[in-house]
Amino acid sequence: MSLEGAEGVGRALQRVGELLQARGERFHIVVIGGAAVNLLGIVSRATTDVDILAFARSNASGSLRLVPPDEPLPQTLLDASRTVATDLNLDPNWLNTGPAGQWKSGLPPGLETRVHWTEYSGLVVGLVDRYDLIFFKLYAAVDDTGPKSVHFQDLIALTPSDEELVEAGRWVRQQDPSPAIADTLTQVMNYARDFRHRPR
Amino acid sequence: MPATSATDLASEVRDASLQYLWRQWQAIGATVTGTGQANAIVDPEVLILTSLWMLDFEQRLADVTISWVRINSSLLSIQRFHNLCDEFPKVVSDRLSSLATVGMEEGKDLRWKSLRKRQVADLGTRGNKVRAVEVGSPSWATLFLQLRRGIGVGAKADVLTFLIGTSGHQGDWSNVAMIAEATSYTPAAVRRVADDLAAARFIRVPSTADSDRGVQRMYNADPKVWAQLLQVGVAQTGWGYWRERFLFIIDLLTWIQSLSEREVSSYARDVEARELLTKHNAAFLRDRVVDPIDFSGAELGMTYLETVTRTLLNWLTNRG
Repeated sequence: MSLEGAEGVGRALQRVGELLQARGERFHIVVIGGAAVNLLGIVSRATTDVDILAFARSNASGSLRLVPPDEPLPQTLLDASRTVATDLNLDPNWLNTGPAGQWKSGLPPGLETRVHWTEYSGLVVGLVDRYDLIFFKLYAAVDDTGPKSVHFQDLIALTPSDEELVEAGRWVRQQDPSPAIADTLTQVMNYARDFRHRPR
Repeated sequence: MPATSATDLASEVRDASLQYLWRQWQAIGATVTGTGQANAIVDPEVLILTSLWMLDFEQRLADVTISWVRINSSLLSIQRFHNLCDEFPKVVSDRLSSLATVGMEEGKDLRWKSLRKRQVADLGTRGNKVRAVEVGSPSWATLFLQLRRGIGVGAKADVLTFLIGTSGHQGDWSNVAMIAEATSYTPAAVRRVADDLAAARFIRVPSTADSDRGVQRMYNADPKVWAQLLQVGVAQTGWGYWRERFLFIIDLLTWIQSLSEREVSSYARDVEARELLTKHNAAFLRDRVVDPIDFSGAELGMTYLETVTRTLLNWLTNRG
């Protein structure tokens, strides 16, 4: 089963948060992917999982600092997500740290300062900004099957400006400098520009 | 379930449990005034550990427990205390340590030494008034203690007690795992003593080819024969599964108390109620206090927890 739109994603996260709160636990997570584009209201589509990009921890001055997510997830968070998976008939790994590898190659510059925080009881969820989602979605679309891919569709829904596409393209090139990627990247960026200028 | 409803349930559970503990104490020789009688076999170690936990609600349990141990210490299994203690909240092992001092110093029973810790909890007893006598004439309630008196304290008497208490009129069979789980001895120890008991014809093994090859060793005891031998009525057999039931009651009361100390949404309450029901399902399913088919088909949550808890209390009061 999948999470239906922002409401479905929000309900699942709320339940996890309530279980954490009952156990006296509190986690800050930052999510990207389909869950983020739904919760930001950019699209309304089904998604199967919630991708955790980062955890956030308070530093000495009390402000939040993003760190790579714990892998595996802390037991209480994992237990809560599994319980919710059972109750909502979701994949047992619907809450996962799939994008954690992104920390090795680098995050879009300044991402941390643009995170939008929402509280779901004991789970505080940070959504990466639309600007940063353009970077991630462009990268994912380059790596995917073509204009019909969900990542490309999400990229279009994010309505990137030419400047944003250029910035995102430059970042994607840093992630993977191979010539094959360069060609595909150019194609995807051109598609995205064309799509934007097509009459609806 | 609103907070007042949870508090009401806790109050009902506490009252019914205390009333039943008194019945069990009365059945094994404590001089207390109880209402009704204990029908099922009293598990003395579980009764003592549960009573030690319930001291916060009923201080008089300390007086009775200590008085009973002074006189009947030799009938208790220190090994089972060790095996069972970790399943109970930590406060119980601290209090058991205090009781160990009583067992050693007043009961003159050095076996308790291994249960004594450096720091002991104060049991808060009131004087040395005698509140118990030696375990009396045989009944189903005292079967555990009587068989220990006759055979000796140890796994042999306890395995025999379990098999007499569970074989019933249908001649139900138990395997090593079931006996080990219920008596809190290791499977190896259970297998050894059960084979001895079977060889001595104290208990039966099925005469099938599988059993002969030892594929699945099953045992039972003929309750009619044992009832006649021990001169107890045949109708009131029953192991009672007190460990399972009292551990549930302790967890339930602890949990309800915690609800008032935490912020718990109705969803989280339902999940935690389900976890309690799942963890302690044996408290309901043994002796079919709750129909297993109803249980497996039910939506396990707060409402169902309330329902089956009241069913269990009713069983305790009328059949336990």
